[in-house]
Order: sequence, then structure tokens, then C-alpha cells
Amino acid sequence: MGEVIVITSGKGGVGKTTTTANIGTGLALRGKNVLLIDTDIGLRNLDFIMGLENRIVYDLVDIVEGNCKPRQAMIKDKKYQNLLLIPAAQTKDKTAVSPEQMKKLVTDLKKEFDYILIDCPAGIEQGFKNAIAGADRAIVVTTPEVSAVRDADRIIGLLEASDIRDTQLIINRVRPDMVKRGDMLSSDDILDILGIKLIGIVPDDEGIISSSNKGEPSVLDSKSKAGEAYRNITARILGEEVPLMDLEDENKILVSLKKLFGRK
Amino acid sequence: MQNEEVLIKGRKSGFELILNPKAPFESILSSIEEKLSAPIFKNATATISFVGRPLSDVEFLMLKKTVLETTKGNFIFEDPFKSAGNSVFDYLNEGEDVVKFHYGTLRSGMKLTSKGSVVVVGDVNPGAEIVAAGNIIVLGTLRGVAHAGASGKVDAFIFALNLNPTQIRIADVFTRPPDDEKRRKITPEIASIKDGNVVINEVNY
Repeated sequence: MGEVIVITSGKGGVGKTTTTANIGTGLALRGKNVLLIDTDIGLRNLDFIMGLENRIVYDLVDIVEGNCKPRQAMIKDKKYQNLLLIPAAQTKDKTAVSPEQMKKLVTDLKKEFDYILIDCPAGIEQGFKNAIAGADRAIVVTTPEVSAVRDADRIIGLLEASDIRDTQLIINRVRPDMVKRGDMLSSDDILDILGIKLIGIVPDDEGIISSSNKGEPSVLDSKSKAGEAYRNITARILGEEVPLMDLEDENKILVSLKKLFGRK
Repeated sequence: MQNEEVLIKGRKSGFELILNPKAPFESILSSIEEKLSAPIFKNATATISFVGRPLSDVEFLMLKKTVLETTKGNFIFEDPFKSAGNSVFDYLNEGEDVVKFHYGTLRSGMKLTSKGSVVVVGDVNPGAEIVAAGNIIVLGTLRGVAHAGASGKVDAFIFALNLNPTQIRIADVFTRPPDDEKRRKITPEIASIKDGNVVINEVNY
């Protein structure tokens, strides 16, 4: 029996879809049977990020309206047989699906997968309600900006009110140089307000943009720092203890040399 | 009597408004508006007392407001809460002494209200709101909006282990931290009204 995890944030553009794609691929790399579901109806992106947009025939709304069976809408990943995607519809909007329909679908499909990851749209309205229906737990994504943290707090409150507990946090797009200068919130500042367990920190990485454009999640790139962060997050989801990445290691040698020569 | 929301009885120095204890409060207010728009009440000077129904702080304030707005009169309102042995007195005491507890962090978008006081065992995050007729105590960091004495009680206070709110309100006085304030040290503080302004004092144990 699989686990249904919803990836949500409240704020838009913080990296939910990127996180869903990377964690999903990461879990598939480790041999798990993974299903990704894009619930951002009308503004779908997960298909594109996974490089699968040309292969869409049926989508989530087709399943819910009975136009096809769930398996018919599932698209296999280009590289991994054990990774599947149900894309969202682009020509409809979020009222096309109800929370009850989502819950039923997800509960039925749970038996066939180890993990079902649900990519939640931004906001707190119907799209959000659809995405969390049937979820066992949640991962909240935020960036180190006050507006994102405020929205994340709201979302965590709404999750608690829907009885989804033990939510975990990913802090995305961290720039350690800015944190050092005091221009960016530190993880401690963020955890002070949100008070949930941190499951990973992902550094800001230009490579994410190119990997999105190519449709190849960064988790597959051994040279990508963001990819490494996502591989670590995947390991933690599987229950392994992985220490948080030292985001400053490129500069470490430089810093020690500076100290040696007495300069700040 | 059963069907009327409000009955008006004349007394030596004024009027007695007999309120139906079973009617919904909104209908009482509309009935008062209707009945008191009669010319005899316009600009009148008299004493008014509300009887027949237990009233909370907030309800009493609303009744007074409705009467004054409808009649533009010069009324003295008999305080229903002063009469000893009156069931109204007991009801209000109940409201006043009630303390609502909240365990855990109050998150953005959540709102706690109480006819009495509120105690939060946890933090209050920005975007969260507490509205209490009585006092507010936060055993944690207060970062949201807290409104104590919301029914008009000027002696209400707000206490927090770390007072860092977006706004503080006591009775009808609203205030916010200075724009350029650097974060002071984290120490328990209490906000109250002195001479019409909100003052913040450190609490030393």
C-alpha cells in the first residue's frame, strides 16, 4: 500500500513542480514505483518539466469524467519504467474536479504504487482542496522570503485543520552568500516561525532553468548542487539519515586560506 | 410577550425595554430601531434600562449604540451588571471569567475570539488574530494582531514572552511598533493603556 504525499506551498513560483519532478524521479531511481499527479488544472507545468508534454493523450479531468481509465491517462517516463505521470488538463479549470473525486481516485491507485506525489497548485482555494484530498502527508516548499514564509504558515494551518500532520519543510532557492550578509532569512529564522520538521535545503541553482527547459530533472545530473540536494531529500523520505549539505564548500578552502593569512 | 422582541414600559424617570430572552439578538436590535424611531424618543432625556434577558458586555454596548443612533437622545443607561442577585450579573461574570486556551502555534489566517480572556500556549504568527473582551496572554512570541478589551474595557492588557506584534489594540486604541525599530532583546512584556495611549512595560520576575 503506497503513500500519498502532496507537495504544496501557498505561494506560487517557489518550486513545487520542480520539487515534485525531482523527488519523483529520485524515488524512481531508487527502484520505487512512483506516480506523479499534476492537479494544477488550467496551468499545467509538470508534464513539461518532465519532458513528457508531447505524449499527452488523456488527462486527470478525462479520468474523473469517465472518458478513460486511469491507466490510459498515465504516461511513462522517458527513462524509467517505474515512473508514471497523470497530467492535468489545460483547457479546463480547477472546478472541473472535486475533492471527493480526487480522494476516490487516489485511494484506488494507492494500491498500485509505492509513492503517489501530488503537485499542488498555488493558492488555498479549490485547487488546493483537490490536491490535499486523500493525501497521507504533505511537504511544504518555501523560499527564504518573508512573503513565501507567511503563505507557508497559512498553508500549514490549513493542513493541520484538515488533519494532515507531521508536515515537512523544504527550503528552496537558498543563496548562502546572501544569508551570510544578513540579506536573506536563515533556516533558523524560518523554522522559528513555521515550527515543522525540515526535510531539506535546496540551493539556488541556474542549472534548474536549463534542466526544466530540457525536460530532464536536475536530480539526474551528478554535477548539479540542486540535484544533490534533491537526491538527499529522496534518501530522507526513504528513512535514511543524511546530513544537510554544506552549501558553502566551494568557498571553504578560500576562507581557510584567508584566515591563515590574517585577512577577513 | 412571547411574540414581541421588545416591549417598552414607561417608568418614573424613563423607560424600561423588556427584551425577549428567546429572540435572536439581531431581531432585538431591529425591533428597537423600529420602536424607538417614534417621535416621542427623538432628542429625549431619560433613563433606559434593559431587562428580561441576560446580556454580555458586547451586547450591552450594541444596544446602547442602537438606541443612541436611532433617537439621537440624551439617555442614561442603567448598568444591568450592577444589580446584585440578578441572573444577568451571573451570566456576565461567566463571560468575563471565561478563559479560552489555545495550545500550539496560532498560524497565519487563524482567528481566536473570546468574551473573556485568551491564553495561547505557543506562538502567534503574523497574519493570525486574537480578539478578546478581556485580556490576552501569549506564552510564546506574539507576531500577529492582538485586540484585548475588545468590548470597551480600557484596563485590559496584553502579555507575551516576546512581544513583537504587527499591531496591538486595546479597547478602541490601535497602535503599531515604530517603523525603524530594531529588534529589542527578547524579554516578557506587557501592553496596557495609560492616559489614552498604549504603553509597553517589561515584566520582571
